[in-house]
Amino acid sequence: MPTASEVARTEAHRWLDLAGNWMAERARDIWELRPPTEKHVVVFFDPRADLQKRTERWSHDLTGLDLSSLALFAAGLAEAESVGWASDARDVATRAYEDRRFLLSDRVLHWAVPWLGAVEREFRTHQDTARTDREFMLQLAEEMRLAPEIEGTEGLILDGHDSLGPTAAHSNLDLWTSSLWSGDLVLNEHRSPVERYEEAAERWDAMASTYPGSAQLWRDLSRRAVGTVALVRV
Amino acid sequence: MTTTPEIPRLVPGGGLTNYPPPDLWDDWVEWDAKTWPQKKQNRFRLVPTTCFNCESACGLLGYVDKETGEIRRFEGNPAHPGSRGRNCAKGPATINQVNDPERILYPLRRSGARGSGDWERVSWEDALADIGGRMGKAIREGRNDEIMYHVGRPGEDGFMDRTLKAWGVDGHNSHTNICSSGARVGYAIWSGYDRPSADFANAQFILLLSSHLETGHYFNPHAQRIMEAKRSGAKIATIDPRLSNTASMSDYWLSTWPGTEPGLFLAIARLLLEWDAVDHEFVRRWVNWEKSLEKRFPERPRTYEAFIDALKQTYESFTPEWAAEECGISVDQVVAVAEEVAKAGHRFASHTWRSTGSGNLGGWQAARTLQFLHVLTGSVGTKGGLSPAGWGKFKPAHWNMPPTHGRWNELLWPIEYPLAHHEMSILLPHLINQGRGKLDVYFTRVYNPIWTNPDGFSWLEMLTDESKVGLHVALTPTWSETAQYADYVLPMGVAAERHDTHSYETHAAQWLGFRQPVLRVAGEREGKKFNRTYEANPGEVWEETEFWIDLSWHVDPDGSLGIRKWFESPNDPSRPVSVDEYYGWMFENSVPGLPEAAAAEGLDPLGYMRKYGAFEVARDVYRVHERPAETGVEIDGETKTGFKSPSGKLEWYSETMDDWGWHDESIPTYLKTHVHWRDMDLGGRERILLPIFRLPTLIHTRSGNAKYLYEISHGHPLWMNPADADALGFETGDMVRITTDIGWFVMRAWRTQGIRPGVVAASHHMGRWRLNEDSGNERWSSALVDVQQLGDGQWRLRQQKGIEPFESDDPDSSRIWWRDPGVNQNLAFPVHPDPVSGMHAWHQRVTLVAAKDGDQYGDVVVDTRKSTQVFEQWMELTKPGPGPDGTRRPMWLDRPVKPTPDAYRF
Repeated sequence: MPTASEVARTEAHRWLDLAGNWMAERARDIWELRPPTEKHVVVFFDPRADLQKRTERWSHDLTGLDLSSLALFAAGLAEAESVGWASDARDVATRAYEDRRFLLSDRVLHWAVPWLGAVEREFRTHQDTARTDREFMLQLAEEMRLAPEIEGTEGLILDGHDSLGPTAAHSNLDLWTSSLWSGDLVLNEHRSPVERYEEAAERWDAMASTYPGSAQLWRDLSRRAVGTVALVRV
Repeated sequence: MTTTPEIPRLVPGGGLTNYPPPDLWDDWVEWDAKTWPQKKQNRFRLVPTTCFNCESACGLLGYVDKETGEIRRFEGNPAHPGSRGRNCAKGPATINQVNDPERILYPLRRSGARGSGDWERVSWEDALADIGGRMGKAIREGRNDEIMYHVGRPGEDGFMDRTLKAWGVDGHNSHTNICSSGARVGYAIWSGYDRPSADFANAQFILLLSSHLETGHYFNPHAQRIMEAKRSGAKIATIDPRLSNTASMSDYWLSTWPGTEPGLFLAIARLLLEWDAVDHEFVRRWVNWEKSLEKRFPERPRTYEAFIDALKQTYESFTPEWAAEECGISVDQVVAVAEEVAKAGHRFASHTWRSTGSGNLGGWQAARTLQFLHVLTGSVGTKGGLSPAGWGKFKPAHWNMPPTHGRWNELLWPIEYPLAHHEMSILLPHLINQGRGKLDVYFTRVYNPIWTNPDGFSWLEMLTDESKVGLHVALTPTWSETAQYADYVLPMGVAAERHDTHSYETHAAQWLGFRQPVLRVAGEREGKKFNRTYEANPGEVWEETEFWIDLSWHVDPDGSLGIRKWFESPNDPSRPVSVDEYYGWMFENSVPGLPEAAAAEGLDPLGYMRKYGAFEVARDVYRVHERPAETGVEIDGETKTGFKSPSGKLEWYSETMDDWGWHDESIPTYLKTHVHWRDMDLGGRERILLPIFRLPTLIHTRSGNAKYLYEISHGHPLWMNPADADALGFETGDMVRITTDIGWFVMRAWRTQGIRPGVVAASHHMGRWRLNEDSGNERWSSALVDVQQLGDGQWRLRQQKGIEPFESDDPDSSRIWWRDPGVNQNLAFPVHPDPVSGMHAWHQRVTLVAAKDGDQYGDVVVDTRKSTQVFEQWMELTKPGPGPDGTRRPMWLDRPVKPTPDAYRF
């Protein structure tokens, strides 16, 4: 049975691998289409200020706001947790775990998993890596129970919002469909929008069933995709 | 980002998460614990200020009771970037110092002979007129340099510089050569910067020649960051013959022979070179290797590879085996620490300040050789590494700075010590005895040389001789041994009673702290008006900022000397500049970012500083040397900021030292200490005395007025290893006569394994004394003594009684239960001025015997004629100037109140 410190260290190295996989110089072709950042995927939200607060607490300078940089931060937090358990600094260990959990749930999972999914579908050369890394994050979400499905009556979500953000579509349809908030993300695909979003809704629902630990995110994406189908048809 | 990312080492932040929010500081409500079960609200006004006890300048919050108008307590200021809301015991103990029933509340003038204990109260106006008049006369007669300002607890950066320039006086004296001249020279020779600034929080390996977790310089801000690093997996090594609290918390304790530490560092350097654990890119770019080859190895090709080969050859003999034997530790320890240094690479941090650098002849090489390890590993200016202090300390500009003067004071900067980093203050009585000058007006500013300096009886002789010191003015918040012999004792405020600014290199950032008189600020917020700070403080306790301004007006009342103009209000020249005008200009014009931060809160910059007490000017300050610059040093075709050394690079070989006669010492090397263990009769009764460690809750001469602190620390044993105790026949509590080169003193032995055999130790934080029953020093902490001159130069200090309870307005004074005042051992130490750095080498060769018949605990017996002999012996070690260009001192080396270049000509 591995110790808590060993588990955290293993995770740290897994994050490190992931960080290496999606550096700009190793995935230049994808970066040119859609860099792996929340800002480029979500479009309507810039996480810079929020990330600065999270990293300041650990005297860490993010090299960028992309998946690789965030993964390195996560790796550092996992390593800090590992050292914390090993040196009996339990407050450090639990703080590192907690901050990593919130980092994954608030700033990574909801856009990085769809981005990796798109890579997996559209870039054969990166397919295996994308699948492996996406599965790693989803499994972590299962362990950490980052976003299980909720009724909606718990008072956790503001009116007019879901687990991703405001639900109202942007008036500019082109801009809206360029955002993950529309319910789907494509990198380089040329199918009809209706077909795309209908397929996306099915995909998110299937994912919600497979990964209950993060199901709320995928259910919400599914609902958004259905809504966008209606908009596109109009 | 690199192509092979590494897991970043993260350090949890150290800021407080729970404290009164600043928005509520003007009306903070707490329940009164003493009225329980009744609920009574206490309302406070929280005013930030800066601790005055040690040199760290941590932030404090004064809790002013709105009902009584009194300060109730002090806690940490969470807005202070250095201390982040945390304090050691000395911070909260400020309340003792404010309320001390023994404190000096009014200006006093001697009414009997010096040291008689007879005083009369005078007004501030009378004191200013008398002192200022005398100074004005001296300046009119061209005797400017008979005026001297001698600072103990450092004051505000630049303020006295400005004041002395306005007076035209080369009279800045400091305590530095009993403190840090040694380390300063070691660092300055490398880079021109005289202090280190370690980024402890982000370090992977921390090497300490100090007691940083309990007492070292900037200890509270540093200790909290060292603990953060430790909690993030960093390893700590502490080098100290004594098992300090810091050593006990470290991963490695290296109990070296005193003075051998540079040998250990050179052995580590040798291993780094052997393992090629060297950042070659950094060394190639930033070390003056071309000049080093030219001057030290002219026969070799001028290539970087040849330089590395030369280094390997130079340090070939410093094997781990040699170091282990020389330092008295194991080979395994040498190699293990070297491995940690190598492994940490850029994240290697270290610190030395006093310790071996201030204990030994040639101690300055400790900093020189330690910095060598940073140079080799490239951990200079890096995250988790070591930066020059100048990058982590912010110096604001002062309003209306006068031009510099062209004077040179031989009493402070004698020609024998051209490379001394600061004034040769320990030699003052001897230099005056040699007829090199005299003092007409001598200010001791929170300084107590009779007690603190070595050779205190020579100081006593000087200070009681009016032909040598015409007028001695002691500016002090508390009684002291030296103040007893002064002509004026002028009460100056503690942390909560004065204005000044401070900044220290606590971490990889820059900040500015604002000390302010808490009751004045609280009163002004209520609409009260104060002309001078002593109107708000207890009694007529004043502050120095206003004192020096007003004194300068009394020096030059009609402006004919051209002095007054520097102290006139910019808004109304008929009155002195006010503190609001002075600091208002500083904060508005010389603190980057402060005006904007203040405006964002609807405040002016002075208002911001009054509200928060501190401002962070810059954070994450790294690799300043690599910044592009208009003028600087050319590196690989680009002009970079570089360092302050003559070459702009890090100087392994110092041409300056070579030019000034120190060829062998011009590179990092190993110098034999005056207390080298091989020279001791360790089989007999000789031992090395280590007399320079602090007690965590006391601070030199300034904490005798804090009852909390003396209740914690009130013992003064002589640390002695059981092996030595057995060999010498001592049990714990036995009285020991400890003989130095000029006299002897009596302490009690304490058997402990916490010190290496061959070395004994006693803290310098104990041994306070007073001449009179109820004046001259604090009864919380001092012995009543009899000081007798037994013959020509022969002195004896004998304790009449130890600490006892006494009656006062504070009921705690009748509850005093501690008795041991300790022993003023420094009195029995001769001066040991290092010929290069000017640092007093504190360690002593002593002989230990059982106390003899008639000896009493605390006795100190000294012959000052022997002091003179020792002084003359050490003077023979010097290599006097002038230097190769006919100057008194290399012009590029820093010195306080630097004069114009023509003053350097000998």
